[in-house]
Amino acid sequence: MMRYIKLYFKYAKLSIMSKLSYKSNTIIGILAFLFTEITSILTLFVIVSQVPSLEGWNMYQIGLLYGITNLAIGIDHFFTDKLWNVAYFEVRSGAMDSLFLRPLPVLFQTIACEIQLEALGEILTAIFLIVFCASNLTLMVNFANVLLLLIGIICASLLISSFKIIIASMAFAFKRTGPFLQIIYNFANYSKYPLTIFPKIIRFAFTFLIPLGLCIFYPVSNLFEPLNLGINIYLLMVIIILLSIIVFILSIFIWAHFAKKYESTGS
Amino acid sequence: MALIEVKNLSKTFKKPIRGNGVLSMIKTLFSRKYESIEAVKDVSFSIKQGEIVGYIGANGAGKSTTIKMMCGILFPTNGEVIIDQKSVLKYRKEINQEIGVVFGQKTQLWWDIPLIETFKILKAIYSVSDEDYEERFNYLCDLLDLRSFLNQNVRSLSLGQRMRADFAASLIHNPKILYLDEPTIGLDVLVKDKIRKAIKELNHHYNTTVILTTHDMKDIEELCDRIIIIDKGSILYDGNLEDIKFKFGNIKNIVFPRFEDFDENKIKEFNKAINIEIDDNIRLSFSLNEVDLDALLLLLISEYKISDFKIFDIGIEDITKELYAKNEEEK
Amino acid sequence: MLKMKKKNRRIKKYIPFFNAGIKEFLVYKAQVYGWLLIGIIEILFLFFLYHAIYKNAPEGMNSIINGFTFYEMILYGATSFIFANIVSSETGWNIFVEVRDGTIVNTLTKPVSYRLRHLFTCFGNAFFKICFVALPLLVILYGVFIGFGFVSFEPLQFILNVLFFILFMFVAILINDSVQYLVGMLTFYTQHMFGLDMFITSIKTFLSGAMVPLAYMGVFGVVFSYLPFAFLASTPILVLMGKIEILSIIMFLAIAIGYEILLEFINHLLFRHCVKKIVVQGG
Repeated sequence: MMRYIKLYFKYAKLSIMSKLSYKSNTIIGILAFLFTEITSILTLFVIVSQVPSLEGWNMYQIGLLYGITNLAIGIDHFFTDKLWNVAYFEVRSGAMDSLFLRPLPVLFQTIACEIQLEALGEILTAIFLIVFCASNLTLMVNFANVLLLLIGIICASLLISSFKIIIASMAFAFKRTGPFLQIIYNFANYSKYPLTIFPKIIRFAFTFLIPLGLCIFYPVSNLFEPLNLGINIYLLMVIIILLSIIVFILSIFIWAHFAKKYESTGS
Repeated sequence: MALIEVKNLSKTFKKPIRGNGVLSMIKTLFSRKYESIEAVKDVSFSIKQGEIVGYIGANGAGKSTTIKMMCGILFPTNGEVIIDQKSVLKYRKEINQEIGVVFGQKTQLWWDIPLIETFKILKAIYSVSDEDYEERFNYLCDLLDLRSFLNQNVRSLSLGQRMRADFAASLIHNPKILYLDEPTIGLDVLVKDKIRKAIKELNHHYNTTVILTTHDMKDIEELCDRIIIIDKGSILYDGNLEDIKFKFGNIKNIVFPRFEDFDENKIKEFNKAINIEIDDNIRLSFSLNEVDLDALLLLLISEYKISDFKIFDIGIEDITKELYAKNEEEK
Repeated sequence: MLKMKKKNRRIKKYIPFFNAGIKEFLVYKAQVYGWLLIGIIEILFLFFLYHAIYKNAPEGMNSIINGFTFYEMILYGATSFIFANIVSSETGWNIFVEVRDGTIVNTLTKPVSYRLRHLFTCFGNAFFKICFVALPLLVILYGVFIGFGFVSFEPLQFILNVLFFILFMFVAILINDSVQYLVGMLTFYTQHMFGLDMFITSIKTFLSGAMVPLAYMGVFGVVFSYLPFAFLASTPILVLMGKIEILSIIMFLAIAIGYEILLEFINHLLFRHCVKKIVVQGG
């Protein structure tokens, strides 16, 4: 285990060195993400500002939820961006060969070999939005609530990564699954808005099937008024952690299953 | 005891049939037909520790496909590859620790950072101990002359430098087996020589088993004790180089520019076994088993005053062609 | 007559590029399915979001917000999604790849206009998307909305709208490709594409009204509707939905053509500068 942690940092160091060897490219990338995020936040405010409140949520509350979801998405983006390339190109082009020739788990190498600095653009806007919205709200800040929120953010990132791993791994069998990876992000977009605007079936799905809502929506609403779920807040934390770890482990097994099907391109 | 055993290896690819016209492409949008291509057919051989084996054949003969199956990154349709009594598909990580791979066209180096970093991370990946690393790193640096560009970004290296670096990178963990796919392709003569020397030296020093594919006859002549010739997915020949050369009569070609008063009779008088072709150049082809090369050269220089001529060996393409023709005849 | 023939021949040599554009698109069959699935998810999402917005508006589901009824909003969103697919061009990326690999030098030596070559590839691409993807979807979409009476419908007016829409669609493809070409030319200076493309895409998405009608943005929206980006989404969609009067339509068409000419003029100057740059660097 220690060996893998050390190796991870070595890989990460090289990845950052590579990125920094194209300084202007990296900076433009970070700015581009920053800018994209700003325009989508503007869009959000333009829409939501049409009504005084959306199912009881005011603009700042929605902004806070949006920012926290984006933070989780940004963290995942920072760590696992290579999965996009796997799903779109690398299996097709045979570029995965070198990973399969090294005595390390392929998933480990895939994740470790790229740290996506561009995600900083996303993370920074998310943090700014969170701070801005939070300063315009009266929140119930205490140890348990904040802990729940942090656990929620980390577990939501882990969940997004896990879903990405599952879909990217299918590229080993079907060569290209990139567009389906996109769908995860489209679903993640749903969880940027209060779950209460959706019909029951989607609310159910986001609580239990794709538990992003569970990880983010409930901890955020808990900052406005105490949750009324009928369970203890610490029990909720345990459920969130267990759920995301189970999905993560599942994704590792699915990856291992499909990785066995990897074939380098012939000739 | 064989180190590598390849048993009845076959690979069939499914390839979608795709038309060229726009209309036929629209059709493939709705339904697709496949044709199957047998890239490798029932190939078996075994290789002992310390051998240098040339695996040769024309383009598309199935060389790379076989090598990829031997590395474990391509699944055989049939048959299996066993290294050190372990199936390559079942024990990927253990096997990877024992093999080094250089694919001439693809680099395994970290592209955007100084070369030395690649070696450092490979040391960690393969858990090479400090002493072993020191010893091997210095050995490889000297052997391949890497020191002058260790701190350069890989993307700024010349092809020759990169190839040498790739070669060293595949050896830093002292693998038992080294696979080289076209290691000298596109390189200039000096670098080719350097790489050949390194392969020999390495084989001698660490008793590394080397399997290489190549188009370059010189690679084979200088390096390989044994060659395996593959064509259309099947093995045509497996044995040593001298034998096959003898079998094909050690054929040599001498070519020189055509001149006015060329009289072919003198050559015919000298030896009837020499075949003469005349176009823009004059080409003499003959077998060393029947013709004394030195005497012929002497004749050419003294009688014809020829000073500008070239001597060619029969190429690997010619050998495979002939082998294939022979096989067909036997059938 | 002779002149006509000459012209014909001149256009004929670009037909291969048109065909190449079609093929480029056909290769990615899975992309079409993936895109459709994404579309369904996005439009469902819009449905829920706007449903909540209208429900929370003072007059409830029958409110008219910024001139749009609830169903018109959904129709706008869905049309925008389909339209964005038509108005997409790979030209910038194609140029970037040629610049990066240096193959641009080969293409410059051929007796075809570099600009027209890329434009015809884009047309080929768009042609396929319109015929096999966008048109069927739009017919279904408007069939459903009109059939169920979700939006008002006057046959003659609608036919006129469709005709103008086709015109604006053509202009949108042109303007978008010109912008993409401009971005491609800029890669001569920046040497990379990803960030640049992302910048332009997010500017385009926001200012063109692809995400939310420009009418939602108050005074800014009015200003934006005169910028070239508005012609990439907002204006054509509003024309199809019959939200713009005939006189304004003609005015917007004139403005759009003006922008296109301006963009091509800039492109022309930029191209000449870039060619010099190639020559100076010695290819």
